Amino acid sequence: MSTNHYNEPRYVGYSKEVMKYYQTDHVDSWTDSKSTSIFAGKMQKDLFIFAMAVGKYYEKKATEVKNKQNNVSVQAMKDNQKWAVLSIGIEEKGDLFCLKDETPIYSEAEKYAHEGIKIIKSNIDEHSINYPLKLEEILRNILEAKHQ
Amino acid sequence: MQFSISSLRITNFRQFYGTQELDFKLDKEKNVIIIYGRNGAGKSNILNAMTWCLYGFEIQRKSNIQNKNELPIVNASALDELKPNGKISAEVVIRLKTKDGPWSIKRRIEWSKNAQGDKNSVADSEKLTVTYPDGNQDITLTGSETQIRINQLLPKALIPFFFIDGEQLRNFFQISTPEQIGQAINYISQMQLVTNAQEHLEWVEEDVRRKVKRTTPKVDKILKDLEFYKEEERTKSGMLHNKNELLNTYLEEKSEIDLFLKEHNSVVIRQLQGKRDLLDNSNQRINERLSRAKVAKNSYLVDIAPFIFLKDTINESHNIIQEKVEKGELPPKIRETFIRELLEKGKCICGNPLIGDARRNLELYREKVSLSELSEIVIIGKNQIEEIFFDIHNFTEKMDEFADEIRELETEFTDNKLQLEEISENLKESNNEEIQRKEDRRTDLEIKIRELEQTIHQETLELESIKKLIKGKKVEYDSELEKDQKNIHLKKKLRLIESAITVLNDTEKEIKDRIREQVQDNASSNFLTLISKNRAFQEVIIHDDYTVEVIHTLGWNAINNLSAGEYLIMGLSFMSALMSISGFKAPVIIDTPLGKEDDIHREYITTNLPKYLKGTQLFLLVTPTEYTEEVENNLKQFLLEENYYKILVNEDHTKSFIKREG
Repeated sequence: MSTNHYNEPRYVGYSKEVMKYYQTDHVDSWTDSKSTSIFAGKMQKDLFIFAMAVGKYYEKKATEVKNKQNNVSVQAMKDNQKWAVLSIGIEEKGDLFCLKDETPIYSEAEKYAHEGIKIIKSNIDEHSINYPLKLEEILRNILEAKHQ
Repeated sequence: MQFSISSLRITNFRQFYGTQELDFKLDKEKNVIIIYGRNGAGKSNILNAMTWCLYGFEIQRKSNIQNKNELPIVNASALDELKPNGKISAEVVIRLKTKDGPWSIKRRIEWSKNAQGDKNSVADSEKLTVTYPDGNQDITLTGSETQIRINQLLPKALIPFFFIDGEQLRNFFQISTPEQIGQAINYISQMQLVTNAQEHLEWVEEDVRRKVKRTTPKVDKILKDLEFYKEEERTKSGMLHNKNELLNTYLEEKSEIDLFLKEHNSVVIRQLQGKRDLLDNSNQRINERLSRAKVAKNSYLVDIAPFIFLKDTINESHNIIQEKVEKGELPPKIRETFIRELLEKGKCICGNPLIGDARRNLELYREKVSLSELSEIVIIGKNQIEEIFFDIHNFTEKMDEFADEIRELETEFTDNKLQLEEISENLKESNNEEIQRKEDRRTDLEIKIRELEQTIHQETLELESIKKLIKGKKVEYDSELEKDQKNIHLKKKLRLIESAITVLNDTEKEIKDRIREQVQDNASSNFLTLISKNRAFQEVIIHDDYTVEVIHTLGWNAINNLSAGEYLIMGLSFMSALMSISGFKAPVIIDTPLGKEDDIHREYITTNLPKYLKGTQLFLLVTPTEYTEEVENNLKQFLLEENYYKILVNEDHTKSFIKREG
């Protein structure tokens, strides 16, 4: 179900520095279907949301995203992905008024995603093809922590 | 181009002694021509004589390079009878009927015997002569242009679809790799012009880039990099091509061994190979399911991970929404502008003035209403968040499901592998040395194929990376060119060339896809018409990667489980699909078309194939075991008496003669 969002940007972006992981025509692409990465065959918006969540989880946020390439379609995001972004805004502002202008929330999301990509890169470098296993372990630990 | 063969004259070619003349009567309805002969009489050499005359090579010989100890192309008896210092020639003449008039194609080669009795072919004596009509006169050509003329009649690449060996056709779908099937389809796509244009444009593109003034050190460096990567791409492509060819050779050899074991006269061997085929197929399917399950698991992880990472954040925002809902701060949607309007007018909707407490209350309410405008979206958000919680809650269960599925498949795969190893051990312990040898070779081939496939996979990825680097360099190069007005004209030229190359690449893909689909549809319809168990099969599918599937009514792929007869029909269906799509209407010559066919399929082929190829001459080179009474009766309606020939052979098999029977 979709509804009208207030001032939702059409696109969000990433810096030129990390563009190579997002775009399929780069040698280091993670989203290219032939890539060995866990993101192979996924869309740019999926990687963006993933990176944003990682950045937020580890509380790492760039002060500014330089040389921004606005290539991630917000329209293409699923509703639950959009609400993952908007939740960050609601939580950080502590009220719902931020939903009257979503653009600043997405700008914050870009800053988290920028740092998130760097964390993912270092995880992939460390665990190589075992990164999905490591990720699964991290996620299980997060969920178990809740029950403790 | 459309043509039919009106006569064939063979002189001292292979076992045909002297001159043998065959005249063929042309009739659209009665399109079958029978050439009957027992094994070894020379049927295959009729096919060889035709391809040798037209293209200079014998289709049924493994090597067309004359070995010193091999039988010469010229009849050995005639050569023996030759006096010292004498000369003799082997010659084949084919006369054709075309809509422009008759053609005559003659190829001859001379042999000589010296004073000591040594026999040798006369150097450079092979000569091709073509006589064809041009307006009101006949033109006779010899020399290099002649072959071009014949290729216009029927391109050499299309020979396998018109000059057919029944045995090879039966094995076509058993031993052919997807690449070979793709090659056959690409032959008839006649993409040469497009390919030539692509190559030419790529050359022009490089040339234009070289002409660009290297005005900045950066342009110079990018160009050098570009040239370097292009060279890398060429080298890598060449290496990959060779490796793929080698892989095909290995795969073909392995399929031949499998076929040998599958058709072995020992029931035990046949059963072992049959079981191995089933296990191989099963493991292939398991592998595909395994990789799909792993991809699905990764995809799920990427989708769910953000919500788990943001679990606390999402939870907190849910609490905020929930609090507002509980406090009733999300009233029904009232537009803020409406309240503002009332305040501006200073009048209530009931007509009373808005002053004092009433005005103050309304001003406070305006703030609240500002939130109410978000009611709808917030409620949707609340529901979305609750769905996210549900998904997070299911994470462990879902991951366990993936793990179970993958584990089950891996266990099944390992079990099959153990059984396959056992079969291989049994075959290696067989009493038959040939089987032992073949099985050892098969094991060896399996290792080589596995290693080669890994290398090819790795190198294909490397090639992809190089292509991406080239693309990146071109983008860099273009942005550098922007900085210099002097290169603007060349830049425009480059743009045009690049777009033309893209259009050609798209065109090539489009044509190939369409032809593949046409071949698939025609082959499917041919197969379902010619096959006796037409209710057992649904369709034939040729995938993008040229793997072929014959879909059983119950949904299984039966391509590896067809009978010998069904394989021949599959081959015939595919070839006739290719023939009809190629646009060339030439006679079809099939050597041993009915060998190994059961009675039902013989009946089907002999009653349906001539109808299929109506208007096209269909030469059938048959053995006595193939040409049964039923076959003869079935073919009668398609056969003119004059078009029935018999090959006779002398006792010591050195001289064959052809006699018209009808």
